[in-house]
Amino acid sequence: MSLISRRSFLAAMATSTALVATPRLAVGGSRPKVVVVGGGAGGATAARYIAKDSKGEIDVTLIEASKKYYTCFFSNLYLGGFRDYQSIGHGYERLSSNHGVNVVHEWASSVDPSARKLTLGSGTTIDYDKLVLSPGIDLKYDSINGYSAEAQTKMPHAWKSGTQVQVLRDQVLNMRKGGTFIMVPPPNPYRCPPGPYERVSMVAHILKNVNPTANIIILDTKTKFSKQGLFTAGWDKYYPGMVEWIDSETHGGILNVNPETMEIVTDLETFKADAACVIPAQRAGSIASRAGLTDGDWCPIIPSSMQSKADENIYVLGDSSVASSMPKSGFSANSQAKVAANHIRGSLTGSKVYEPRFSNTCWSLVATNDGVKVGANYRAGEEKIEVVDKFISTNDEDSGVRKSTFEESLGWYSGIADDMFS
Amino acid sequence: MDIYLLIANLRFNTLIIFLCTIIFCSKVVYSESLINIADEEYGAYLAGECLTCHQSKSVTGIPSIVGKDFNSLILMLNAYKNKDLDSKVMQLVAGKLNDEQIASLALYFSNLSPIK
Repeated sequence: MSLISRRSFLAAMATSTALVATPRLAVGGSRPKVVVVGGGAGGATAARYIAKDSKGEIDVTLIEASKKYYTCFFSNLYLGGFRDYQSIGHGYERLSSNHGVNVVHEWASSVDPSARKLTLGSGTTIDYDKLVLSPGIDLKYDSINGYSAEAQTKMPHAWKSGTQVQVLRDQVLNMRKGGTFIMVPPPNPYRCPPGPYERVSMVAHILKNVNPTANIIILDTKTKFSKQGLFTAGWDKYYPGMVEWIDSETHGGILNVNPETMEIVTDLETFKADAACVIPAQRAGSIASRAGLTDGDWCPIIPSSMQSKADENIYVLGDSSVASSMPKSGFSANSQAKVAANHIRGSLTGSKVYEPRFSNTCWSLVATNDGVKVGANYRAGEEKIEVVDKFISTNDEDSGVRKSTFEESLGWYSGIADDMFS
Repeated sequence: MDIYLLIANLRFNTLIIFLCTIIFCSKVVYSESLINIADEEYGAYLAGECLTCHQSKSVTGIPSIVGKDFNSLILMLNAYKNKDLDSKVMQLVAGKLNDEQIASLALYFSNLSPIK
């Protein structure tokens, strides 16, 4: 979409609650084709909503390599022993049986935007009218000296859920008595801003029960973090003396890590871990940069529709996109997917395109029955997604409020899982 | 029933005013004028925001809103909007909804069939 047409679009939006987009009718009577890459919170939701709401008018194909998707959200609760592993795994069968989505379990390897073609790992090509890319993150292993894909077994990042979280849990459970767990959170921006600190809470919860003389050191790459006051108050209350947070100015930077010796070298001193979680810097899933959609590490989008600024036939959702104030979270991706789905249906079938509405809430568990949350809703500004209103839990909440916040997060999990996969 | 849950959760100092609203205004204002501005298709779009958390059946921590009475849904959403009911998330969601949007959501969810 050009700058001029984007302005007209926004102007039209400002004067009415709905507008009718010009339909792009399929040639030769065949249904218009939407291809979605990535079956996470962005992609699965987009595929489901486009197929469900178009009632068969649009041919929807979802490309996702894994047959079972293990959510990143709640993987920390598995780590802490609050969920079993199977409960965070979901299949795609109902997207096919309930809504007619074509689910293809393959890697998507490249996009040819000018020919509107997607090539899969097997070499098969698929044509599309609109492409939705929701590939999540890639980890920049070289952002930490000494770290690599191979280092993951010794110092797992466990930032893409799945088996690495199981490895990390085993390593925490098998730490020597009185040992040290080290967390290295990533620099901004990254997937799930409160995630590393919820993870610390969950590790502390385990250690308090099985290894109470152990300690936890956070060697941060930042000088502040999400929900900081809530987490630090929680650590003092539930795990007194166990958790030490050292910011980047104090330790002077992570110089290198050595997975063989389990050492993490900072400008201040060398720390030795018995178990460690090292989370590198991140960037958009590599298919996005290969398609020419990135500016730096991430994909700029048009806020009102989630279309790539580089190609109006491609929509970028979730962690890969530059969503400004919206954090990189499953909730955000799910919210963005509905805006994109509505816009795609409008442009392919002429259905009404309503004003974009975005929201996000991130729940974190600090200890048993003690949940905290931060949330906001957003509007599409001309250049950025902007915050309208927001909230955050407070330290003076009583235990009843914290328990209901945790229970709310359980309800949300089953809600979003249904919203993605049912 | 929703209406009893609503009353039980109201802050005391707003209870009297709220009861008056229910008794004197609900049938007249909500049934007759709000139904006229409700747009079910718009409600279906707006419902996307609700369905991230609310399912067709109630689960721990999140009640179902599917198949509930039109007037009850309007009362609940307005109570969250006016911060008469406690829930940071719901106050945030309802706080930016206007009458047309509230009515459209209420119409959409009241016309859905709950799953037992």
